[in-house]
Amino acid sequence: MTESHDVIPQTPVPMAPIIDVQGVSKWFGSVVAVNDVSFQVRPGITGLLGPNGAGKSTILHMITGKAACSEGEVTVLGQPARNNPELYRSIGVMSEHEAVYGFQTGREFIEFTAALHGLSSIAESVDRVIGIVGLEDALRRKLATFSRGMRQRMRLAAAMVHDPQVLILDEPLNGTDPRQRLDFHETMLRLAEQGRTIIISSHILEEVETLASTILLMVSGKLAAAGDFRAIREKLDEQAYKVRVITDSPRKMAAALAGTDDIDSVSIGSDGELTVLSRNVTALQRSIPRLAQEHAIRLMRVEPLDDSLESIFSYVVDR
Amino acid sequence: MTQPTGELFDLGYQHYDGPREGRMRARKAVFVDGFKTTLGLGRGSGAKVLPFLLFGAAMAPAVIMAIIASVTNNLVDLPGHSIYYQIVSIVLLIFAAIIAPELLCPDRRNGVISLYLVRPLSITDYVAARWLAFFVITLLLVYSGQVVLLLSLVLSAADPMEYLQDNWLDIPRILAAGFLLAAFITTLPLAVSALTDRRAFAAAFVIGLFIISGAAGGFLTSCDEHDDSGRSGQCEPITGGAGKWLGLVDVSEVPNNVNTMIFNAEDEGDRARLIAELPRVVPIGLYLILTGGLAFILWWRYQRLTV
Repeated sequence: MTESHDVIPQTPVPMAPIIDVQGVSKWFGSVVAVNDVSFQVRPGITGLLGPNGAGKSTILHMITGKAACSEGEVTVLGQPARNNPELYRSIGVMSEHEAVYGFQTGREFIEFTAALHGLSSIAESVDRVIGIVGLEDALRRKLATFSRGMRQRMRLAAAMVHDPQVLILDEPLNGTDPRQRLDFHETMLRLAEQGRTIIISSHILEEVETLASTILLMVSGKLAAAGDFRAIREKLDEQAYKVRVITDSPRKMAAALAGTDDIDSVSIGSDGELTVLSRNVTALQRSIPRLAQEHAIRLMRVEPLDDSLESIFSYVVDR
Repeated sequence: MTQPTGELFDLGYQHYDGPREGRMRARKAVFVDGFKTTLGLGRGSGAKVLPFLLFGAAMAPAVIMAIIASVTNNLVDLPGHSIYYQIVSIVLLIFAAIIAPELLCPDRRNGVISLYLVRPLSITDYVAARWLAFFVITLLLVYSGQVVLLLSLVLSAADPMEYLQDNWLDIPRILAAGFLLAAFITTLPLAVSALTDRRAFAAAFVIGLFIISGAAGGFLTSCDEHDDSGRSGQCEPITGGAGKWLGLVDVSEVPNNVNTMIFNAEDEGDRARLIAELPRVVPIGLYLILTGGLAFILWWRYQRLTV
């Protein structure tokens, strides 16, 4: 059964969900990229996080209507996301791998995207957004001569040129320097204060941790966590982890582990395998080899039994 | 020593309060971009060389005819509008094969297509605007040459007004035939371009198709020199009775087969003579099926586009 994760809005007053993802799956042949994901996004900044290959871009493609859902439904502002070009009047999208025409100047590029959005006051639109990304001096240069960071900022300007209510930014900080990140943070916070809905995806937690108080955490195509970032960390700290340990002396190892504070419980299976439960997996990772050395035990295998949870933990806590 | 001072200005985020136009504005933007791309406008000088070279080559026959007419003072019979289309269609086909892929292939190959997919226009709008941009340029090209030719024919006539009165039907024929020619040579290379991300592959395929189908059509309709049962002044094709059907395999002649009918002209070539024996509905039907089918492939390919 699909569980719907309600992302906590940044503002205290509950607002209607702007983006509603219900039971969404996406597969390419036999590869499942997104598996039965449900969540809602309300105004404010939401960070879509996860390691590379977690399915972040795929879910964003479905939210922006660029890809069809294999299963489930996505609505944005109450409208279906797919095959709905009019929706792009209200949303601004910056895709991860979107290229630009190198022969266009910065101004021509923004003017072109403004025209694609049907804006009449094109010059005004360009002046309005270009200041935000701080590229006034580069407007007459060809995009081919821009650095990667400059191109990213120009694409961000293009995504905002029509003053959208919803901004969806896929890895927007790739190639930007610390100063540009700071500017980007300020711009996003200002937009969020105005009641806009912003989703920022990243595979680097630090990038959005200070920006988005609410996160969607994806691991292996599944939604692993959703909600307030600190609340997720606390819940992860409370979670006991299951680790399998195979040694040549299981009883000796179990006794050694029982003598530490790092575990909650240890049991020996009929096949001699140890199953260790621990809330402090980092300490456990250090204890096992140390105890094995001290007691002359030969370790044959140490592996987490809950790989998904381990990934989340590594991602959020073990930074 | 004075203390360095500085001030931070809050540029703020301002709303866009200007008017917002409909989807047609986005279509127009893609159309204009396609128009400029075709002619290499807004790009380096190298991008303009080939389009304008081919543009010049397409106009050359009409200009040469006009010069001949003025220099010889109407002593030389100039070829008609139908023949002009047949001559210029070869250059136009090369022009289309080389330039048209530029409109579609790089957008997909370089990932710029994503830029369009997240704007308020459908993928059909994008393809249709690109098609229209190239079609309009081709149409301008074929009509420009015909206007030059018509003017030279009128001005070289002993009585220009009488010439116009006698030949006024040529004007709607020029318009109709030019429209069909432009539609065909726009749709074919764009449909091929939809199937490959590489411009060179698309251009090579289209040119190869013209050469191979042209050679095949010419061979299959060529005269059987050993045939002695032929009609006076004519010869039977080596493929016998099937020759008139096999002449249709020449893809480059598909629009010309229809144009010859529109101008009610008599083509002296073996292939054209054989095709003229077919019911009129056959070349027209072939044109419609081929152009319509190619247009469908173009549309269908973009409906299935994944990014």
